[in-house]
Amino acid sequence: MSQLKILHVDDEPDIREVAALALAIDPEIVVQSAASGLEALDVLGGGAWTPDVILLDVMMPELDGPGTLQRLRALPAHSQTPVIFMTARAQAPEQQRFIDLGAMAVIIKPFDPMILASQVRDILAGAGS
Amino acid sequence: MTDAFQALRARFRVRAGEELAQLEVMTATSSDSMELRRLVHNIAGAAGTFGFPELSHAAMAIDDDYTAGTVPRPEAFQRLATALSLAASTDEA
Repeated sequence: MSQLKILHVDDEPDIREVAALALAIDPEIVVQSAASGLEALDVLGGGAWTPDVILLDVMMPELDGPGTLQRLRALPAHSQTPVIFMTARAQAPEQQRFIDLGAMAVIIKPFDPMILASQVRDILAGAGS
Repeated sequence: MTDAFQALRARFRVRAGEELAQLEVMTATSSDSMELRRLVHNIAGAAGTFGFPELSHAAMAIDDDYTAGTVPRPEAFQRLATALSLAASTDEA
């Protein structure tokens, strides 16, 4: 499998850590975490590190997931970077709203740590096929 | 991953006790505040990942009420408080 760089954005430290552990099951995945939408924009705006996909929590204080996505798309280097929202129990209309905002997919929380890495790869493979 | 995951699960259990205290304070004044919504939503999203499905379901039921524009019933908060208490007191030694 090819290397995959992932930026994971979530305000909950425990979730960031368990997601990093879960994604590390796939040895070809490189994860960087951000604790907020603003921190994610700092990472991305700096240009020193460019992820292949961004996992973005929806409900965060200050700048939520949709707000982060909107500002992300204004960055020329990230106007097309795939974004997967992660959120608790989004119902179908809300999931569709996230897709309409420009997300590639939605992963429902709670996620299963044992399959998170393959879930992300499957979503990206599906989008490319 | 197992040892690291167990350490995170233990930390989550400590946090469940703290969240129970927060829940009691928040619900004493209101059944619908942004802080309470965020607390419930976060529990709904995290508890299942750490192996506490009943806690996740209890939080999801309240989260669904908020999403539907309904004020959750006191029984729903009681169920969540019980589930938080059980998670916090789980003996895994």
